[in-house]
Amino acid sequence: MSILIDKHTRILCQGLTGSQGSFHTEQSLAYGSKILAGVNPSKGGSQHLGLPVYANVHEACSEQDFDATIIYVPAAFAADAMLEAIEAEIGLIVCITEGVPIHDMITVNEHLASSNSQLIGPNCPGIITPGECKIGIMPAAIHRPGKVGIVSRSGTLTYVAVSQTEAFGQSTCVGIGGDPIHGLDFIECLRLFEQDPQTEIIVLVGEIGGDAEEQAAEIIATEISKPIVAYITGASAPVGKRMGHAGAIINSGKDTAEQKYAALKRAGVNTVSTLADIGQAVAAGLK
Amino acid sequence: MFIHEYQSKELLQQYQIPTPRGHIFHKGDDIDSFASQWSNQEWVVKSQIHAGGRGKAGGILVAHKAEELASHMRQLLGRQLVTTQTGSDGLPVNALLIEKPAEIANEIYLGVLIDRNKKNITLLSSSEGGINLEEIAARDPSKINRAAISKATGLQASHHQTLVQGLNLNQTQQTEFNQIVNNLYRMFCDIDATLVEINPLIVTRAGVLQALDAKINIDDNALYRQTKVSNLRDDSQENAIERKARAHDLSYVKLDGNIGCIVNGAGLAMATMDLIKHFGGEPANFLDVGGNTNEARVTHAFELLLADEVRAVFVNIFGGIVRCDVIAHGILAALKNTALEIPVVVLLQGTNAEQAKALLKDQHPLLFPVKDLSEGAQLAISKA
Repeated sequence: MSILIDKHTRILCQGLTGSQGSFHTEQSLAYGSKILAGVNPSKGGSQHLGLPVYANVHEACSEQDFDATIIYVPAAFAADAMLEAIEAEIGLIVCITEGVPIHDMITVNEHLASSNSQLIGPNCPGIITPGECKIGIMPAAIHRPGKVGIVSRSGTLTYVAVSQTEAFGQSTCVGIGGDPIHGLDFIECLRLFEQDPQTEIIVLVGEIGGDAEEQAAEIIATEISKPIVAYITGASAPVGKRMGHAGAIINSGKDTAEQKYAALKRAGVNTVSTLADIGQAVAAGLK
Repeated sequence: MFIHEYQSKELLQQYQIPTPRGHIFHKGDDIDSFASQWSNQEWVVKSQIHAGGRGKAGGILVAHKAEELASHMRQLLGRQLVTTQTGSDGLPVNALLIEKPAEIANEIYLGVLIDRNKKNITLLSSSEGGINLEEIAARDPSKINRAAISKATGLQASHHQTLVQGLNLNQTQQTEFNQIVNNLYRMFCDIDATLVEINPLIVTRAGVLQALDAKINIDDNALYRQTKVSNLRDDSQENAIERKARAHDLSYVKLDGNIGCIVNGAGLAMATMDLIKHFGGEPANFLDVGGNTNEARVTHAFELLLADEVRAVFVNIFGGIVRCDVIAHGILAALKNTALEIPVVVLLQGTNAEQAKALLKDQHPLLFPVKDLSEGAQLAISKA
């Protein structure tokens, strides 16, 4: 078992023909992901990487069935791509694109709220169920199937968490993205990991800004029985400075790493103060 | 992106939101001829920098007499103004906004922001204008009116009712206020703003509403479609290295310590800083080479990083899509090109890490490869 995706997941790729889309699709296909087709408005009817290319999502969905779609299109067109996928009722939408305007994400979320689709990202590495399916840009080789569920706001830190939990393997790793407004959050992922029999321990990698970690803490105490190891990055960040990620900024003094650690500790989470301690804490949690 | 108060007020005027009468004065213009033209009345002289706290820091002066205007202008122009929000270097005052003093009967707070948790646009108002929103919230949160707007349906009469509560406005002023709210929301969406604050929005003694101070932040991700607004960028308010980094597609953040960090990914950047602090060191800056880097970018990163007072460099890369051997070549090129005289601690993990290690082995006496994060942070600190 796993969460959200497995070896049966049928995938569409929006932005297949671009350089990013081509490179990562080849990698994902080599991993065994069932990417079945791509979309490009001006290349409908052609073939790319041996896959059919449709002019739009609607057309693709009238020809084949898809459980998920991955979006690589440039930031200026990413919102349109997400809206198209929502309209076509694709269950899982993974948007890798970085730099999507925040006003666009508000519109996308309004549509998402009244749909049955789930969104991962934007500005994220995607999602992988090791050994079964990779929908994203993460380096496949570091993952192996196992019992640690990982959810993270940062791409590179997801990889670090994966490499530190190498001995136990991973059930599913989700990079939810570093933008202030994104799709799936910690709460949804924690609930899914709780229900997934393969996942025995959860690693949560948060960062400064917003209150997604505090919100997660609120449900952890009552809903999550599995052990959780949490690391929050940005403890030494100065107030008011945007730390690379658009969402990683301390605005009010309430969204600091300290506050987030305190909330998670109160909920019974095993928090680690440096990135280097994740592996050991997971080993201890599995004993 | 931040813009100046005077630019914010010009935008408000374009959206029919009244502001006090004012004149903008740029560094290099003739102070005396300007002052002689306007000096026969009282003026407020306001330093234009991209930070708040100007009043308390002495960046806003009132000229009561004719001769005071020119002397106040001389005093403020060209100075580095340090406020609670600028950091120790302060920001240069290259422009002054010279306004007529307002006759204030009442101060209101009016703001529009993006609520990242509720994923919507929220309008806020309060009768407690003139102090910042966090302070109002700390004193009495019930004094803040909130209206969440759906992009699909826009502003409704009920939102106006919510926002006008407790503001002590008469019928005419309420109509004016509603109009300001409409225009402000329209502007917020039009210019891809992430924050607009009119604080205070005053009621003058004559009973008219006016935006006395204004702050506008714009979404960097939307600048590609906001050509007019992106022209308002003032490079002088930005750190010179941050500007250069942007030109090379690198993300750079300046801090106060002495260890330079080269990393890939914003999360890893922060985690590396945290680790250095954890072991008692102080990061000087970080440069994020991103997920799609090449040799040249790594070389640029070194050049930029060494412009700060750096005494050791910690390169911490987790290769995913980024290949460690590419980073290693970049490091070697930088060593050749920049006449490096400080130690460089290198941690390369992930894709092609072994190849990278072989490439770097015994290449330079100041190069120190390490095996893990804690070792790397501690070594960088001891070398700094």
